Amino acid sequence: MSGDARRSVGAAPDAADAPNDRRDTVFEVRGLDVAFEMSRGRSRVVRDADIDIYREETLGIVGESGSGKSMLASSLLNAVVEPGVTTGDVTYYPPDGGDPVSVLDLSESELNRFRWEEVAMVFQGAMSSFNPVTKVRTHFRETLQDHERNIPAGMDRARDLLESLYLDPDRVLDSYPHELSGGMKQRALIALSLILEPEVLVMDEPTAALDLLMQRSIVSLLRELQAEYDLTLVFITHDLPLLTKLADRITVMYAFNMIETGSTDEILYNASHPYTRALLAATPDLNVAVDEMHAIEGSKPDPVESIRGCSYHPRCPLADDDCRSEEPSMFTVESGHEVACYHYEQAAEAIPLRGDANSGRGGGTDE
Amino acid sequence: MSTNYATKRVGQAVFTFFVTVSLSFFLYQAMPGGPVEALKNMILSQQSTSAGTVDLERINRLVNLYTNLEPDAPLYVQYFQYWASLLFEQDLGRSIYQNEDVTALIFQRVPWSMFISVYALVIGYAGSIFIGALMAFKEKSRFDSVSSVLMIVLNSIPYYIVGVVLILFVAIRWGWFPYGGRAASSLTPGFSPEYLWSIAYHAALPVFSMSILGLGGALTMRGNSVRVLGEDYLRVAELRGLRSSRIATQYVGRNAILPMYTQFMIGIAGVLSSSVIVEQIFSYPGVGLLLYQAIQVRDYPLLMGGLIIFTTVTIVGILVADLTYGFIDPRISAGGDDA
Repeated sequence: MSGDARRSVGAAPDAADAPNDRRDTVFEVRGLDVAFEMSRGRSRVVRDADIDIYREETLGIVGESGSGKSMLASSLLNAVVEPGVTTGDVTYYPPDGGDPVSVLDLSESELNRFRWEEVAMVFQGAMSSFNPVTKVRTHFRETLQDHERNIPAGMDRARDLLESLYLDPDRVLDSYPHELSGGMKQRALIALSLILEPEVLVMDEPTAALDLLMQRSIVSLLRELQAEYDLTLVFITHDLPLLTKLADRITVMYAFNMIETGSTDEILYNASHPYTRALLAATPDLNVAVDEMHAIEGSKPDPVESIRGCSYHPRCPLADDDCRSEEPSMFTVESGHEVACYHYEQAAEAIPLRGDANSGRGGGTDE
Repeated sequence: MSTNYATKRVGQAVFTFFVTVSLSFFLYQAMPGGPVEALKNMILSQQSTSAGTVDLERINRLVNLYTNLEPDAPLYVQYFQYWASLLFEQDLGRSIYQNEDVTALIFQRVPWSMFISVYALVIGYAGSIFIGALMAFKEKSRFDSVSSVLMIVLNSIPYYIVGVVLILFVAIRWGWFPYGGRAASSLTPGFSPEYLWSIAYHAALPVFSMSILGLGGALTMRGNSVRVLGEDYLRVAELRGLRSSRIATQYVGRNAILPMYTQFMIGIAGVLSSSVIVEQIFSYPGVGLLLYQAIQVRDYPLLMGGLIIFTTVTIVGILVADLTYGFIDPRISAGGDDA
């Protein structure tokens, strides 16, 4: 008892002394690389990613299919599937100024404790995320059991979580996975992901297989949950409009690189990377005539071949010799808004968003 | 819904039993010199050599006693008589050669056959599940490829060849195991440790050679496990930080074994019928050997009886598998939704 008190007293000045950004950062990713050895060469599916994730924010990661977003998300839990190799630094800062954890250096058993207790993940195949032969209750119970939690207290929490996700706890817990609808399964999975009170919830396209209405309702549920449980959310999707309703900050990935990071407003109204702008211009919008929507010409590069210079230059209208010879580093557009483009100042002019600024916004928010 | 399902399954089982028994009855009758004819001739030839006077009336009575059939009645009457005595008296007739009730003969032997069959099946399947799971966990390793080849080879070699080879080397050359019988004849039957040990010792080789039959399941198990290892719920289980022992048993094992369950129940039939040959090779006095001998001397009542017993065991095995599958895979009881 007294030891605890002393520690918390001792921790307070520490926390105050620590640099501000350190205390607010929950994940610090530096020089992250994910590579797969394949018969035709080395496939680098995440290249030199640097990003900070702040406590209790919602970070959206957006990019087209195969841009490396899922791999980036998996590496936060050191869960890149074999035979993928993850290198670089992923540092996790526990709440209340605990010792930083280097996620990629954790042992098997440390990793087992880290996963789901500190960081949980809901990922693409939510429909088949449950063991088909056991009841939903078993999934909650075994998770509590293997993390040595108090089971009755944990099951009460499970009920609360299910209820706050507008599910009937008894019905859901007593069901087998196949007896639930897709949206119910998805919400049950979200409840399961929060059962151990994690700090961070990584969601990898959690709404991909759901219909539009269910997507929107899950997004609003997530916002409620985040406020209720002080969660940090990392939300990965290719659905930029969806993200703008949820995220505080957005990172855009293109061809295994992070190319632009900024607050949601900055990305929406002041996108500075030609790709981000092209992506915004390509967003379908019912209010805009079809011929005003622009697909991005060309196709994305192969992960095995390394492109010299900026990975977007073959498709970029602004590309010049610099872009073709050397990869751009991050430029700061404004505080908190960084972009990997030599020509970020010209991007707005070269790639106009559709119509005026207002309809550009139309792709994002509809309030 | 589920009672409906059960009724349907039981109905199917009864129907299968009926068809099998009927088919074999008529096939036996249709054979040139069917059971009644054969028996009549046999008694005739015996009597003509011994006594000389031929009493047809007496012969018909004898035939009736042995086969439960009235030799002069039309075929359909004989058919109904057979069913009647089978259903109401559990009487399968009398063995022609052993001069004993077929039911008694068979039930004396059934425990011994069941003993080696069940052990062979359990050992074979346990082994194949274990090996298959190990192969899947070590997919593409040297162990995996070596055992895949080994399993295919074992699968392609008929089990009776294994039996013969075992007898040649293990029993005759090296003398480690006996090559026949079910217990040492010097011991008095009973629950003495020596006698029980002798039973196990005598059963070892037949059980081993029959369990080779079940080992083919290893490749199925490997395939199932590899499939389950790629499932989303397995990845989520890993992300949830569950203990690997739980993942191996509750997630991979449980889901990979599901398809093996029906196979196992149907396997009972395969093992029982293979006992005919295995018991002959090892001169193990079970139902198989009894039937083998019956075939050689055309002891029709005994053959029919054995066939009915085998059919019943098989049908019951499959029925039990069908009815219990819902307990081990909840998706089945919901009507086969494979989501």
